[in-house]
Order: sequence, then structure tokens, then C-alpha cells
Amino acid sequence: MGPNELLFWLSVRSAGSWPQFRSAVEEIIPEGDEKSNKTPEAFPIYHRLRFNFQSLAHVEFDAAGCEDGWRVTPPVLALTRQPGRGAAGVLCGARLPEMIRRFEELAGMACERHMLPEQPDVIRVMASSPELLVALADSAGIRVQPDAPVAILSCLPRADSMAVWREAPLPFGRDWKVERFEIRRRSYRWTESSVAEANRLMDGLFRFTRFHTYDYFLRAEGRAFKVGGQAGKFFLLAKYGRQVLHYDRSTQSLAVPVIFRPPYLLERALALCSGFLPHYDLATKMVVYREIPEEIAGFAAHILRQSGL
Amino acid sequence: MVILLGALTTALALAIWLVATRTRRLRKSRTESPAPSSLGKYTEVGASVSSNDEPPLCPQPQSGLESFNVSAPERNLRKEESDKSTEKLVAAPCVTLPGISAPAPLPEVSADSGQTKEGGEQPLQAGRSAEGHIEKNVGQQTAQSEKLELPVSPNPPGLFEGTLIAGPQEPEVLVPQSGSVAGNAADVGGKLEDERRMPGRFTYRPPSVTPPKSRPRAAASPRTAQGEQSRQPLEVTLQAVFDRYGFCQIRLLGQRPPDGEQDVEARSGREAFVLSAYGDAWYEIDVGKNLSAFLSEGFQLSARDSSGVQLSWRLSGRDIYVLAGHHGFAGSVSTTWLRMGRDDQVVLCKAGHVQEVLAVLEQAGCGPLGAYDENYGAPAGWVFFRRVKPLQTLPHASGNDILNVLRPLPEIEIELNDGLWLYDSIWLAGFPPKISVSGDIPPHAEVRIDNHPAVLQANGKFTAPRWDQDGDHIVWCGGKQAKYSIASPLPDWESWQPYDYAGGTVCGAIAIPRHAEHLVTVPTTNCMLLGARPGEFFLCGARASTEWTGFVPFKVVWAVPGNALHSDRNHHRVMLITAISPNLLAETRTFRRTERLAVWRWCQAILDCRRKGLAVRPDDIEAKQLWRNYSNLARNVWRTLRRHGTK
Repeated sequence: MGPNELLFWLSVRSAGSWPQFRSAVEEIIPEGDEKSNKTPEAFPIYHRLRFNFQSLAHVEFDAAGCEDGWRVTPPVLALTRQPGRGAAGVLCGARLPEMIRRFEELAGMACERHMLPEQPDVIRVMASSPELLVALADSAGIRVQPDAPVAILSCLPRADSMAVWREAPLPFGRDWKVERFEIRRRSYRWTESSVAEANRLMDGLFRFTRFHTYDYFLRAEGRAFKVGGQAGKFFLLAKYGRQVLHYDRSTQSLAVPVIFRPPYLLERALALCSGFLPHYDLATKMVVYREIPEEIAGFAAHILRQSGL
Repeated sequence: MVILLGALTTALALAIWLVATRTRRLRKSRTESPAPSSLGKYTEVGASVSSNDEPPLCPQPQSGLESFNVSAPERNLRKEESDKSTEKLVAAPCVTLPGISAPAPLPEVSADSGQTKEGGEQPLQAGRSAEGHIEKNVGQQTAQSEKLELPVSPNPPGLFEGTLIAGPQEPEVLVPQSGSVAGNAADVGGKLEDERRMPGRFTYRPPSVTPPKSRPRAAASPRTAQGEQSRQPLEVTLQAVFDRYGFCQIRLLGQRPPDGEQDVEARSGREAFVLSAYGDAWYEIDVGKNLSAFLSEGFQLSARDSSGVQLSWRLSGRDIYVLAGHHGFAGSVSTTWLRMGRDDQVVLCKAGHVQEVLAVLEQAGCGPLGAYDENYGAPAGWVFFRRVKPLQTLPHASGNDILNVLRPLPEIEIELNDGLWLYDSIWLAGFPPKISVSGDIPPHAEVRIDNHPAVLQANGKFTAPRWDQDGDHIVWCGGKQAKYSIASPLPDWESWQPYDYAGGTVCGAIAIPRHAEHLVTVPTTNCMLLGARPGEFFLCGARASTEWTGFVPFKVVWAVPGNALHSDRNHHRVMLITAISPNLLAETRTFRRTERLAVWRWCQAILDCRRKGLAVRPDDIEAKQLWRNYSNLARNVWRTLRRHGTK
């Protein structure tokens, strides 16, 4: 059994706690190999699956309505316009065997199924126009989200929008391992720091670790905000005017250094352009998103405060 | 009324018949018994009336309908205790049917046999089973209490509030469900004390009954119940999970109480250990380097949760552990002993026992096994064996031989493994459990699934017609059975708002932008978007790309350069996005103060393009005519605005 069965299981249970997810991963995907697909920031199998399920819009984790846990999103056919190829629909959200069988039966030859490691099968259907896909989803009893990538991007705040962050006091005590994100001339990395330094500095991104759990705090203008790690990094990049996004118009691919993988929701918007998660390019040490139309890449760059592509 | 009277008559007749039968039996037994028991008109059946001060001698039934049987040694013990204690009597648990005002005198009942002794009619007694065992140990006042001049209510609360049940050989009776009449019973006992001291009248003396409390006993609070429950140490199990390289991760899992906290800090002596939730029912105990010592010596952890309830976990140390797969767990978890035919079993033993363990496993037909040490994840000083699959049973050695756990017993076990287990004994349709049977199956024994003979497949699993279809299924073999269900649930997945931003809400792939409905893609050079109504004006933000895409709150008709007067006439164009006629009504209306600025900018954008002489794209007559109409409208509106002022 694999990620497909895990998604079935999650779909039946609808919602649960993080420990429940973790034990389900270990049970359903036996002999979890924690050494394969090693990236510079390697995570255990349950974390990698969590990222993948979240990025592909199947499950939400630790968000409003599923705090400290997970909840399966409703089944949706996420539509996207493919320049020169009409429209594509990606099946997201909850899944059950019978539902997939019916959907594939209705879609016929237009349906593609891609089996990839550490993620549920990508079920994608192509059509000459979005209206055909809307009709298909209606007959299958599945909700439709037109122009899903743009719709998601339109909802997201910009990386430097401090209004969405929650001001929070910095943790204290000796149990914390503290690191500071350092932007150097040619490199970016986490360096060892301390609670005292985090309190002393007026600006910077700090990572507090305890019991293998990360908490990120951004010091900006002397205030401390609890932020998502990736959002905090792009805030610093914008502040220093550093460009990390690379867009290749010929291949319609958007590349970003692995340490600057975009925040979940933005990555979801990029992944829904094709239905595929980014792949890791060993040569350039970058994660690459495929089939990204230029306007979407521009929109993503705008949210991340990256001025050039 | 007629039916009721008929039923009552029948019940009465049956009761009389029963009394007569029991009296006959009692007479017979009396002739055999040298010291017959006699309680006069009152009977002792409630051997243990529970009180707050004294624990009951017998387990309390869970509900008024459940019964308990008093074992012979227990009865003797109670008998001895009752001899020593102050002798009090408890009236028999008797229920009067409505309408019978003067019940018949109660018969005598032997506590041992529960049989009626001489005299009187058989009452409709509650809590007596067909075998004559005592069913309820709640003393109740009888209707005869009037004769004793007891201050007892003729109808105590709860006494007649009951459910009709039918015993196997008895007529229907009303059994009280709630409400204790222990107090009244105790009063009865007190009054009868003198009578009971009469020599030769009693062979059985009940234990003392505590005086009644002045107020009704409060129901045990959940907190108290939990607290009492927490005194029992919670279960600890061992789990072994392997990765594809054969490296084993051995964990200690501690049972998680219902609604247990996510993380608990427990102590063992002066050392503290963190217990992190693992699934809904277990904690993973982080014992670090103590694992080896804990496994051999055992341990007890104690913690107090946030509500103050004391929790403890205990593992008894041993030198050999047997682990096997179980649905709901990854890898293998602790089990009692090795079973035949299963290949998912792991034996973990101390390094000093390797030879003995190997010898027993060899006798059990496990074949050659490799011992894996610390390099493969075993705790320091321990060794594990993987895929231990005994093929034959072994007799257990006498005494407490620790190797007995490695000797498979011949008993049949039906195992349901793999598949997509959901909860309880339910598997998801399409992913049924794999059914296997271990143990010594007799030659004549047959495995049946849903009463169909099962077929053993090449993979060692049993199947039968429709064994994997939706519904409940039963596997049966050699007198043992296992049940499982296949289900195709279809939960109602609802959309909610996990991410709610100023720009809109996102849930999975569903995104609902606020105040924006129309998707537009335009070149970034034409970043000013205009609608059909004056004032429908939208300026696209700067983008790194050559195209801008996004949602706009109105239907866009024109996309024009942001600064038309300074644009390059040869490159920049006025772009028609959607051909919609201008809203000519706007010419005559007066604009509100709040919308005047937007209307002014709308007019200015069109007039600037006109002044610059930018070409219209697409280059056709309709588009040009439409542009001319918009230009005229913009000029007229602008004039109107100038008259009223833009602010």
C-alpha cells in the first residue's frame, strides 16, 4: 500500500490529529524509507507526505478548523488554462476508490493518471475548453474551481505584509535551540544563535527548536512576529533586495533554491498549474515547477516580492 | 383491563406453581440438611448491601438487569463473616405488581440454593435466575414490612420503576432499575435482630448492613471514576518498525487515556521522560538510552495530567519479547507468545540468551535465522530475530521457563491482517483483510467464511465467495470465529475556511477571492483596466512578467497603458478585452462625492489615449466604433464633472 491508500484512509476518517496521521503513515506505508529522495532539508516520511498532500490540496494541516491536526478537503476539480492546449483539470481533495472509478469512467480517454512516489496519483483530465471540464465534474458530482492557481494567488497576502502576522513574545529558557537565518553574499544558511541574541537584534529571522518542533520568529522594526519559516525568508529577501526566483520562458518552468521553497499555499497554486509537485534538480540544487504560465510566475513573484524573473 | 387481569391471573398461577415446586424441593433438601435455615417470614438474599463505608463483598452488577452468581467459596466466606458480624436482616428483593394490595407472605429462601423453604406462596421475586442463583444483592423492603411496623414508604422511589423482563422459567416481573432501598432494608434488619438471635433458626447469617445515609448517595463523578481508573497502571507495549534496509526502530508505546493530552512528562524516580501522542490511543515514550535497561528490568512511570489525575505506566522486565503485526500499528508489537505460520513475528532477546532462543526456534521449525544486534537498531545488549515463522508446535516446559513464549501452542487462531483497516473490525471496500489461520488445524476441520467453505490461496490466505463484498462477514474454524466488516463509507466532506486572508479564503483547491470575480490576463504594458461604467477603473500592480493576470471586480472592456501621454505610440495600443457598449445613462447622472475621483480617472484614461492617438487593437471597425463611443461618453462625463468639481 502507498499514498493512494493513505488518502483513502484519510478521506474516510475526514479529520484527525497529527499523531494519528503519523501512525497511519507508518502503518499504511510500511518500511518507510527515510533515506530515499534525500534533499538538503531531509524530513521523515510522514513529514514529506504531509507536505505533498498539502501542496496538492488534498489535506489541510494545522490550519483553522484543524488545529494540531489534519482535515481532508472536499473533492474538487481544479481547472487551469493551458496556453495553446485548452484547459486542464486536476482532481484534488478527498478520494475514495469508487469515486475515482466513476470519474475515470466519465472522463474516458481524456483522463491521465500519473503514479509518482510519495504522493497520491495525479489524476488529470484535458479538454479543449473549461466548459467541458465543468460539465464532466457536474456529472461526476465533484465541485469545480475555475482558474484555481490564479484564484489561490489572488487570496494570498504579500510576503512583506506584516498585517497577517501575529506579534508574539520570543520564547525564553535554556531548552531552546536557536538559529538565525543568515543571508550572505553568495549563500543563505542557518547559523547558531541564542535567545539573548534574538532579543538583542532588531531585525532577523530566528528558528527556535524544541522537541524536534520548529517555531519561527521574525524580528522586524524591533518587534517580534511568529511567522511561517518560508514567509519569513522571503520577507528578508525582499528587504535585502535579493532575487531567487528563476523563470525559463522557453520551458515554462519556475526554479527556486531548495532553501527558499515557497510557502504552502503559493506552492499549491504553482503545483495546480500542472498537477505535479516540483522536482529537485540535483545539478542546480533547485526545485523546479513545471508548466507555469508566465503570468502565474509573475503573480507568484509579485506575492513573494521578487521584482524580476 | 381484561387482558391485564388475565395476565395477572396467569402470573399469579405461575408463581403459585413455582412456590409449590420449590417448597417440594426444599422439603427434600431439609431432610438431607441437619441444620435447616429458617428466616420466618423474611428472607435473606442481599448478602452484600453496599455502603459508602464498607466495600461490597461481591462485585456490583453493572445494571439492575445484570446478574452475578455467588461462587461456593465466596458464599462460605460470606457466611463466616456474617456469623461474626452483627446479624441484621435484609428483606428480600420483592416486587409487587400493581393492583395487588396485600401480597402473599414471603417464603423462606436459602441463600445457598436460593430455593424456597416451607410456608407461603412464591412471590414474584426480582433477580432470581432459573438456576436459583442470587441475581441482585440489593436489599429491598417487602410488602410485609407493614407487619413489622416499619416506617417504610409503601412505594419507595424507584422500587416499581422498572422494565419488564422475562426470565427463562419465570413469569414476567418488574425489576427496579434505579433507586436504592438499602436504608429501609437496614431498618428491617435492625428490627429483626432479636428475632435472628433465636438459636436454631438460622443457618445462614448475612453480613452487616450499614445504617442508611441521610441523603441519597451521589452518583460517582466522572473525575472520581477516572481517578480510580488511573490507579491501574496503563499498558506499555513494545513496537518494532523496520525500514527497507532492515534497520529496526524499537519504541515503547504507553497507553493513552481517552482525551489524554498531546504530550505528557512522566517521571521514574528522579528522571523525567516525555510521552508524545502516537495515534489516538498511544503515547510514544522517549526513554533514550534507558531502553535497554527498561526492557530487562521493567519500569514504572508516573505523571499527573492537567486535571490532576494520576497516571502511571508499567512494564514488567523480561529477557525475551515476542512481537507480531497487528492492525492499527506499524511494524510489530508485543504479543503473548510465538504463533505458528506467521511470518511477521520478531523475537527480541538479551544477547546472553541467543543460543537458547535459537535452539528453541530451530525446534519449532523456524529455519535458519540471523541475529541482528545494535548495528541494526537493537537496544544495547539485545538482539532481535526477524521473520520468525514457526512451523510446528512445541510443548511448554514446566515451571516459569522464559523460553515458553517461543514455543507455539497448537490452538487455532484466526488472523485478519493487511487490507485497509478503518476502525473496530471494519475494512474499506476494495482493501479487505487477509484471512489466515494459524495453529494445528485438525484434518477434519474446515475453514468457512460466511458459511461457505474457504479456499486456501497460494499466498496462504483464505477466500470464499463474496468474502470481500460490503457487509458483515464471519470466519469460522475449529470452533473459533472472527468477524469483520467491509464498508464503503461516503463521508460528507464540507468546505470550511482554513485560510482566511484579506484577499479571500482558501480551502484545498477552492479559493474565493473577495470583491473580485472576473479573471483577466493582459500585457503588463496595458495595466489600466476600464469597465463599461464610468468609475470602473482598476490599476494592475507591477509584475515581473510580461503579462498580468488576476481577478478584477468588474467586467473589463478596455486595457490601456498606465500613462498614455508618455507611452510610445508605435508600440502601445488600446486593447479591447470584452465588447460591451458603454453605459450611456452615466452621461446624465450626477456622481456621488465618493465616486467622483474614480470617474474622473476613468474619463482621463480614455481621453489621454485619445489625445495620444493610440491605435485600437483589434484593428477592426466594430472595435474602433466602440472606442469612439467610449471616447464621447468620457468627454461628456468629464464635462459634467468639471461643472460639479471632482472633489
